[in-house]
Amino acid sequence: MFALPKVENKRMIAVHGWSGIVLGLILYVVILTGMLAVFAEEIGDWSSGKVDHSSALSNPVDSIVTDLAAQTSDEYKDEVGLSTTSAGNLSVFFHGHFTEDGGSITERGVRYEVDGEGEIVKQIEGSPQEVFGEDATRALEDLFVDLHIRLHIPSPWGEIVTGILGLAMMVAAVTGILIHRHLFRDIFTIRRKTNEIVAERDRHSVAGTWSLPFTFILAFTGSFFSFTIAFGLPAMAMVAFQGDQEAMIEAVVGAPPEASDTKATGANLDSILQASREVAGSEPLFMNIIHYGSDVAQVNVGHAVEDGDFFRRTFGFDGATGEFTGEKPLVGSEPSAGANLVGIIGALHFGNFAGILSRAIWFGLGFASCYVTLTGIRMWLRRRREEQTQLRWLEKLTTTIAWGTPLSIAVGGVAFFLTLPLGLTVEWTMYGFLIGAGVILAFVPLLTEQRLADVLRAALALCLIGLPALRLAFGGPGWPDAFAAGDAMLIAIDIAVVVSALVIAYPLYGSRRFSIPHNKAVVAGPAE
Amino acid sequence: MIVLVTIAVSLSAIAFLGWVDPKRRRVDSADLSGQSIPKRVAIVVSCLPGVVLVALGEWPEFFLWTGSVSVAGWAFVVWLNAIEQSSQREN
Amino acid sequence: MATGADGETHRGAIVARWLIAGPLVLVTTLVTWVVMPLWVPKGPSGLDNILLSLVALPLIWAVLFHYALLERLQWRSALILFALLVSHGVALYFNFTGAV
Repeated sequence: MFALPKVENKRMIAVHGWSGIVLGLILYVVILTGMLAVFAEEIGDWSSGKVDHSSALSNPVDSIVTDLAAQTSDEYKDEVGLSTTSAGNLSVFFHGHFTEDGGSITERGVRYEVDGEGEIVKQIEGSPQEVFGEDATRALEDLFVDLHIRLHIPSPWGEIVTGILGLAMMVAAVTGILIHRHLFRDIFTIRRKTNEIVAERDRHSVAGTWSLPFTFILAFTGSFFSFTIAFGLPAMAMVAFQGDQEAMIEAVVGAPPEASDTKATGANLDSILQASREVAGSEPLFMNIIHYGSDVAQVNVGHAVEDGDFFRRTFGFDGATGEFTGEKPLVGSEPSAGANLVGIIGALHFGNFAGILSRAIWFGLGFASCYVTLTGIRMWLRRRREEQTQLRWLEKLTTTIAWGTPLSIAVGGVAFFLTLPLGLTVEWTMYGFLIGAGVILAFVPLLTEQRLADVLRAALALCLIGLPALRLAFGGPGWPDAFAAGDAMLIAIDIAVVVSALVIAYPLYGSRRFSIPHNKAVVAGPAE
Repeated sequence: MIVLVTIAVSLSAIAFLGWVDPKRRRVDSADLSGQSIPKRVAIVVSCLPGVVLVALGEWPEFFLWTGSVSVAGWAFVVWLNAIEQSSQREN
Repeated sequence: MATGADGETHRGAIVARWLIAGPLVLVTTLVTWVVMPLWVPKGPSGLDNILLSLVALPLIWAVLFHYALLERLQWRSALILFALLVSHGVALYFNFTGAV
């Protein structure tokens, strides 16, 4: 398609190859976990055994909030946030804004969790980080989501690393187009009759070409998020607002109405929820009340993403009268091009804009990107196999990471289910992941590359088969419970996990080289 | 719903293009045929739904279309080459 | 004359290419980007300058990086990058010292 001059073409090939070989393996970890993260919420619900997905805001909340307000200290009653916890309870967070000695503004308050019967099941006081904290039932989801966002490297360094990986992925996509002379003529051909290097090259470039537009989009949007979290937002605020934090917060979340000392009963929250339901045509997910209990109170109600929309919508109401005041933009107080753009970037990165369909497609795109990354690395190494025998360790490392990453996460999953009844999942899911990785690495020097690949495959298949079994054995809901609650996703994930295990194990079946002593597979994957 | 139709249209055109692709068939020692009129039509038909979705301003649908055509197109090519390889092995 | 793995002919030219595409592009990107909110229109929400700049960061780097790799005349890429760096550096200096 492009005919770069020879010198430039050679330089582009070098950049394409080196960006892949230096960063490709870590990039693979980020893409693989990103692929899982597309279904993070579903996997989280599946692992924690949540079958009831109804929003706690579907039930009356007004009297609950009034009762809770009566027992809450006045300094925390500036703002109230309502949402649903992973256990399906109503979370009510009363909090105030406090200016610290250094001039920075912090939030502090008290959070209540109220069950379906209206009983307070939990009450914690502190900063938002403290009161929301780490959720033990979501530890498996957190394991791979955190790997995807920052590779478990502390902020902001982890985000800087993943941001750089995003840039490398962009470079690989752009140089990949530039060096491919017959971009469209080759998209149907995988030559197998010729040698293995050519076949590998075809597999790489066919998958790469088909997924090209999305490789670029996912890489670009990913590095946008990484850099924005890591240093982008503070740096921009520093320049645009010359360090005035209060001015920036006001611009981002919209200037709050002036606080007022005049008390007011306020409109009934259930009527506001009902009004919002009518405007949005869907169930509310969260509610936020600014200047609670005063005559200038404002209520914002957020809804899930609807089909045909790119992002979730938030509607504003007058807290005193209950009157609808208009739709709120995603960022800022007025709708703007920038806010829309950021919303679209989010939708394009997460693939969450058309329910299961868009997410299934994004999962497939993630799988294609994993495949392109691995075949690219293998191809680069195969070509140099003859003249550079010292690179054999890198081939083995590629195999180790390719199978070892999903295996370690699966071992983390095993540890999660084993410790779920004890409430120790936050630590043990991570320990499981690390133990899995450690055991795999200990096996690397003992086996040939091919044998290693077989052992890791077998162990991964065993672990995956074990996950639904452990889920059930340790008190997770069975299929009848899921049917009763109308939750098809739990069943779908059980099936998907078992089917993946079978697909992964299938090439080993009847293979001559497959003669692993049984105990080794068990050591590598303590699922059984 | 419209998005499923656009995806089906594009994938049918891609399936046709893949099936008659000269380069792929040459690899399998079949005849070499040049750019035929049905092929040009198929190329236009495969891209048309995307253009229509953009023209209608249906952006979420457009990205659904692009994403599914990317993934399904790739899966189709892998499958096409795999069945041909296995049929050769049998011969 | 042996051609290097990346298509460059002199060792010196290879090093220069990587210094330009590596550190120089990085520093130029960061300085150009940090100045962006000062000239990008704020829009009705007063935030467009920040949001659009944030989105632009990976794109600025990608454009400058590929340009530096593909530009035949190395002195020209160096000159253009330096011009961008110095002009934006000056703007940044005045923003913080409040001289303008």
